[in-house]
Amino acid sequence: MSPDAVVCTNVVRTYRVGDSTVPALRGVDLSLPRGTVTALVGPSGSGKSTLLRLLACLDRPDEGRIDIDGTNVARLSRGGRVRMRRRRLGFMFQSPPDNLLGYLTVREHLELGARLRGLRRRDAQIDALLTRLGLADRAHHRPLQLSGGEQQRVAIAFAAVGPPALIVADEPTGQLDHATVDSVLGALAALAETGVAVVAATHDPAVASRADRVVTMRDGRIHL
Amino acid sequence: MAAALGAAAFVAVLPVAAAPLFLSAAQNATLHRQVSTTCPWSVGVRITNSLELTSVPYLMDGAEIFQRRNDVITAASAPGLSAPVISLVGDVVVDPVGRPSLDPNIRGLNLVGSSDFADHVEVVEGPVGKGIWVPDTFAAAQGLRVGDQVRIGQRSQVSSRFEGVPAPRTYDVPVAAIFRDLRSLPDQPHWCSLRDVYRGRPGQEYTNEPVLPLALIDNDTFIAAGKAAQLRVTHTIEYAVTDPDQPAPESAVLVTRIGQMQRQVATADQEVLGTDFFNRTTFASGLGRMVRRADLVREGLLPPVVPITAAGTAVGLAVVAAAAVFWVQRRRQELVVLAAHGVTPRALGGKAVLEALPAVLVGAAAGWAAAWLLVRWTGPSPILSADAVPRASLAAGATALVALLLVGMVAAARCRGLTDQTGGHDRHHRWSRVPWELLPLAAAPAAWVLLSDTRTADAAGGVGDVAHLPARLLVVPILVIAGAVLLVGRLGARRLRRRGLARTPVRPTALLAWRRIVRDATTTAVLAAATAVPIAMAAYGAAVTDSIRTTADAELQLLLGSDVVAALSPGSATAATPPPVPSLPGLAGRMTEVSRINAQHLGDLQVDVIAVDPATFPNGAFWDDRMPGPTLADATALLRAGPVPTVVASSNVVTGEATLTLLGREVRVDVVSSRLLPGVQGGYPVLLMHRDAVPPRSFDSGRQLWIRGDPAEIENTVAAAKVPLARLTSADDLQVGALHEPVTFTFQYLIALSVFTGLIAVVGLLLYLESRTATHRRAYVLLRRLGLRAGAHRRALIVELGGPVMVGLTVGLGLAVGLAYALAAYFEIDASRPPGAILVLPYPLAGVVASMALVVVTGAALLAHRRISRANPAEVLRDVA
Repeated sequence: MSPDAVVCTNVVRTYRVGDSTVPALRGVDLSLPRGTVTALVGPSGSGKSTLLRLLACLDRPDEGRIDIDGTNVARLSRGGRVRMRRRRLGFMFQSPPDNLLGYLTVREHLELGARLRGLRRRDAQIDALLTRLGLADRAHHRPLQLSGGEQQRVAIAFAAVGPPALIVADEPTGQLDHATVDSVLGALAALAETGVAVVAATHDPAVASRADRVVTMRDGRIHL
Repeated sequence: MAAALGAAAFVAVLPVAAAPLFLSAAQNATLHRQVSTTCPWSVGVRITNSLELTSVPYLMDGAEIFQRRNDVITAASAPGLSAPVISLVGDVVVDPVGRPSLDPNIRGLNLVGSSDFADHVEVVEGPVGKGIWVPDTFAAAQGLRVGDQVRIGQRSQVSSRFEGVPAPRTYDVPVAAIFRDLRSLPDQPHWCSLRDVYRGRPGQEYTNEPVLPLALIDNDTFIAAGKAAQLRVTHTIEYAVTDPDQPAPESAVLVTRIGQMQRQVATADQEVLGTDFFNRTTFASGLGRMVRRADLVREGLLPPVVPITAAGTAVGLAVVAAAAVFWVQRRRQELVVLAAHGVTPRALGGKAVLEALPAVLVGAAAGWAAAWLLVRWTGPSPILSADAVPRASLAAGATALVALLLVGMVAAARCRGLTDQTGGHDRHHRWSRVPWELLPLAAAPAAWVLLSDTRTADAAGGVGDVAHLPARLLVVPILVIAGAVLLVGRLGARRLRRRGLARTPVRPTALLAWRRIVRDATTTAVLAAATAVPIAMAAYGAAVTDSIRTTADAELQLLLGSDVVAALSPGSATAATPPPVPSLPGLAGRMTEVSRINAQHLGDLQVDVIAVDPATFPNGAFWDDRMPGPTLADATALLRAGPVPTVVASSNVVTGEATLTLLGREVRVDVVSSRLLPGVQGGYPVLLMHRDAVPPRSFDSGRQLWIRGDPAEIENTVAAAKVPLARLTSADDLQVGALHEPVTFTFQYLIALSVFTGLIAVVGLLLYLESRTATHRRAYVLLRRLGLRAGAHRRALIVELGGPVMVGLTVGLGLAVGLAYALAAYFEIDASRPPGAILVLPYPLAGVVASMALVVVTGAALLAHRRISRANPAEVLRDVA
């Protein structure tokens, strides 16, 4: 097994706005090792979110290749990308409520995630994940009964059940206070220890300081 | 959301469920109209045979034939027919016994032997014992009382075909009862098959053959008297249909049974009678022809009903699809989470189906129920065939299934774009630029050419043709309305997007409303289109409905002359004065007396002369000022009596002085022409003439009362006044069995569906509000903190909703009126009949729709504002954060 969960090679993505084209990524080369947390930093418009969407198989590059667990997702069909998302990827949005379903409890979220990944024996893994992320006593609560930090940890657990090869987080602490940020970053670090590659786009220095690697983007390119 | 989905399913199911119910109701209405206006015995079975009650030594005795035939025929009776009424009819002379007849000119009677008569006459005196029942007019003329003996004798000298037949004798019977002469009462259904016997055949009043009143007697006494007098009589066995209201399919079964009965009767009768040529049996039943005509009418309804139903269902399914789009919009956050975790669009579509299932099922059930109620209450007949309800249920179920599949497919397609933004965008952009709306517009001319058939031929033969509303009058406007509305919507949305932001209203109300409209230009255009399409369809439908109905009615009224024409029995005009006009209270202001003198000559041209009273003629004759040419009042004002009377002729008559040959007398007349006149029949021109210019004797016959108004009311009034009638005809009578039936029923269907088309706009409004609730709530909370008044926000909502609805209303009504004007020349079924198409624009409907739109918009905006203003600011702001 390759030590890198993800390898991006010369990834290019251009958007069309009206009659003009906007280059979002101009040849990105990047690898994300397993078991590490990578912080993706850079000014607004630098291409962070575009790269995250490509890594999360929500979009497809115009050029280049993105290998996730040895599969070039740039060539996958729509259905193939959906399957890849379901089996090997986890995704977190910026806003905690946007990551959860209001009518499911914490445990039910994890059970749904496990079921989507096709796990048969899931109780033990769910229990372990809940304990690892400090959510064991919140297992039967619904999202509205949780704080913002707890909701974001549930989102991490929801994305991590399986486990996937890669978790993609877009500004995971953007809407959290300082006290809560720490618990979320601890959860991401705990998750990485299990061998999952985590990549998070952020403006938060706290996230960058706790990450194993910091990758800076500017004008659609990586600046190491 | 559930309400919107349910309402959308309701709108989709209603037309498709209503179609089989309506077709069944129309079929049954056609059948029952024929049945109700036809003699019950002619509908069921009428078996007639001439019977010689002569005592012929080498032939079977007439009485025995009578009895044996009764036995075999009644044994063959089909289930579904009433008990038989057996009667014998022959003309006789009746004289008092022991004294001479008081009036030798009034001795003849039509003697009817019947097994059932006592309950169907109005008894004046008696009955006492067995004997003859004579009419009061005859009893008065002969001075007869109950208990008097009378002598029955042969009236027509029947020369027997057989040797050795004894000479006719007389037969004495007592007068058992005196009853009201049937001729002095309105016709009763029981005696309908003898109507021509006691009222005379049409035209008999103009011959020397007298019309004899009916006298009644039991069959046994009739046979005895008949044998004595050597009568040749008509033997009739009649059956009515037990349930005249039974639906067409059940009636078709009865028709089959009647056919079997006919074969059995023929076989059995031959055994009784042998091959006697003179005693050949006639078997008649009208039900089969009526059922075939009802089938033909149903067939004739398919061309207009199918496109209406298809268009209604398509619009309903479009609303369902819109509801699915809004469902995705409302569930966006949840669906994005699921899609980001790898749930496929197909699975999300399945989720949409499961969530929509209860609402769609409830909506579909409500649509089915509404269709049933709609047809039962406003359809041509409340009677539905047994197979109509299962068919409607099947259609409703299938449509509900399609609606659910559509919800799933649309939701899945929309979900595909929630997370996966790859591919297709440019392609979609290119496709969206193609003006697809032009396709229906381009298809309209082809549809116009292809769908021109207006009549359904009678394949079975014998029941005539029926006209149906030409499919092109419906399909082409549907295509034009759909294409034009979508095109206007696309252009409007594009203009809003490009130029909308250039305008900045100053007032907060206007600014809010305008910017919201511009921001969601596509949604605004969809709402306007959803309003315009049903309004255009309803308004056009009403225009074509009212125009064709008015034209068809006018054609018949113009043909007849008025709503009702009462032909009076020959009067007693003197050389100096015509007979007096009967007094009919309540009808005075809408009645006129005319004398119709057919087959006269103006020069060499055959014309029908109608002698009228110019003062009352415009009141009683039919006229519609929308018809071409001078009005009837103007035409009538030209009439003059005098030495050279001025007469008004209908078209194609040379004007100026001419010689009119009137009742054998030549009269110089001054002819002026009017384009249209009432009472033009048989293709001959009509000549209106001042009644003072025709000899009073011409009022002896051909006297008619032309009366405007409700035929039932007029018939009752005329009967109550005991006006001596020869015949009463209404324009409605001409309508029955006419080729317009399916057209009439289509009108009813269109009108009934139009009532519900407004629902589509209301549902569109609901969906629109639903889709914007969250945005409105956030905006309201924020703007209130910036000092916006609640009233200003309420007004902004009214403008935001009302703007697109009013644009839709204007576009819809404009399209409807434009189409109505463009196609007005085709709004008639029978172009060969005057007066030509009369265009009736639906002003009342437009008024009602505009008022309803205002009420609905205001109500919806106020309700939406109420919901929005109740939002908890803390929750709303947390949502935004």
